[in-house]
Amino acid sequence: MLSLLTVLQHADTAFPSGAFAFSNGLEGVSTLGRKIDRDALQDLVGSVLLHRWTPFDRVALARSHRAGTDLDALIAVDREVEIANVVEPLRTGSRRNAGALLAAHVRIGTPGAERLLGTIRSGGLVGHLTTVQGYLWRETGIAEGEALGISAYQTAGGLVAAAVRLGQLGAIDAQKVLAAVIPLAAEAAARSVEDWERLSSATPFMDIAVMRHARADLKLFAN
Amino acid sequence: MNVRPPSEFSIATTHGRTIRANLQFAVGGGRSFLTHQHVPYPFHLTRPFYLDRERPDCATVYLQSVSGGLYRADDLDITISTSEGAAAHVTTQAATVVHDTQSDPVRQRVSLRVSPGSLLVYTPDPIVLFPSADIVSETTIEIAADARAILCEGQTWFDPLAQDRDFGIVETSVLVRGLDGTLLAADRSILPGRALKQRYSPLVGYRAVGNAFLLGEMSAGLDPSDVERDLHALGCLSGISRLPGANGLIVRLLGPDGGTLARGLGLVFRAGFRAMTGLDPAPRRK
Repeated sequence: MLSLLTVLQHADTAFPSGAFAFSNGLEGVSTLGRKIDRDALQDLVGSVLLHRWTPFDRVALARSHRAGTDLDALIAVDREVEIANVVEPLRTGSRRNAGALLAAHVRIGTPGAERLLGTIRSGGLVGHLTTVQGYLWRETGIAEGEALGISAYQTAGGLVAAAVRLGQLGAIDAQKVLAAVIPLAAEAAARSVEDWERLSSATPFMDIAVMRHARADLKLFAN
Repeated sequence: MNVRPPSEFSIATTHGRTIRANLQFAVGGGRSFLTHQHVPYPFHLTRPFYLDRERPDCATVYLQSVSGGLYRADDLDITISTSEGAAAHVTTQAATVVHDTQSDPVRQRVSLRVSPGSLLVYTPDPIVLFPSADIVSETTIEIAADARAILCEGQTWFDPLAQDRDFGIVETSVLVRGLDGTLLAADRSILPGRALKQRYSPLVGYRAVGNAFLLGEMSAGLDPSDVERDLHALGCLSGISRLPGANGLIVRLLGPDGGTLARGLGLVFRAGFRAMTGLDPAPRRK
């Protein structure tokens, strides 16, 4: 029960993770003139889970979690995330979201959070979201599989919540979408991360949306 | 999805052709010349053309496969380099077809080395994936801090029997390195053909996808919004972003078909050339 409740605490949208500021391309899709109804949102969330989260975030998070307190290993994973994140608004969004999450953990007093912050401030670590999540969640006793589950859920939930805040659909339809994609998230999170996997992604439509959103005059979200 | 170990794509085979091509450009007397070329069958290379009246030093060559495309287990290795101060454009005359590879993919490695003060443009036409075609393509560009480069790559797919059969899988990597080998940016993508007809297709109905990389100083400037607008007028959806760790941009494109994508990539080449040299390139006739 303790592990379940710990997972719930860190997956909770009430946790001050800073994620609410990022739509990760969804606002960009809406500004491309595409209507985001229930079906369209499910398609977008599903494609992000299968073609971005699975080959990129899942791999980076698992490696960060496995690095544990080995800072050299953590720095290597973080550097790989920086290099492979070729879409600038996603790259900067990952760093900013990580900064907000780490700041919350420092204030909460999570073990290791101060040390990680010091490494970032000294320039030893860029500090991407999956790096910070992997390190901190392990420090709080969350196992790798559960960490992957939280990340997959938050990816789906974040996109769905962004759609609601943008007025694209209501809370009930949003939950229907979430329910429909949770099996995808669960299956992807349960897949073991192998040593040969390289960070990759194949979401050109969402990439383009987030690239164009970066130059929008008016926007609700940071990316 | 990144779900297959590389060992599945590493089985030694005697079926495919092993092809090694090497082009080296150097400058002398105000012109860039091919100082070394090794272009075995099935490649064919044209002589250099000097198409740009205001950049008479820039050599343009067309590199083409004359065997009707790429086949099961073909293993291609293409190396192109520009020595200090040289300017060269390597392109193709038409798209390259990848035929059914029967789970034994085509492997293609392209290595570009761009020396200080030089300009290298590599703009092959998009590849066309036939049903059950697999290709693993890795392009590495090693570039000096004061050099410039333009690289385009794209894929589309086509079933000659009009039966809507899927291509196999396309794995692409573009790695940008400094001349000392330091990895600056890595864009990797794995796209299974079957995923494009399933519910969660990442291409949302588009039938051609490509990227362009514009690397190095663009002293004449490039407005991303203008380029995206011009690409939209051609029928391509596009976005432009700064690359990590490198002085450069990535342009992602989606098109309704290969022809539109090829025109879009051509537009990006012209915009990049203009931004880097201050000059409009002469047409590269195909």
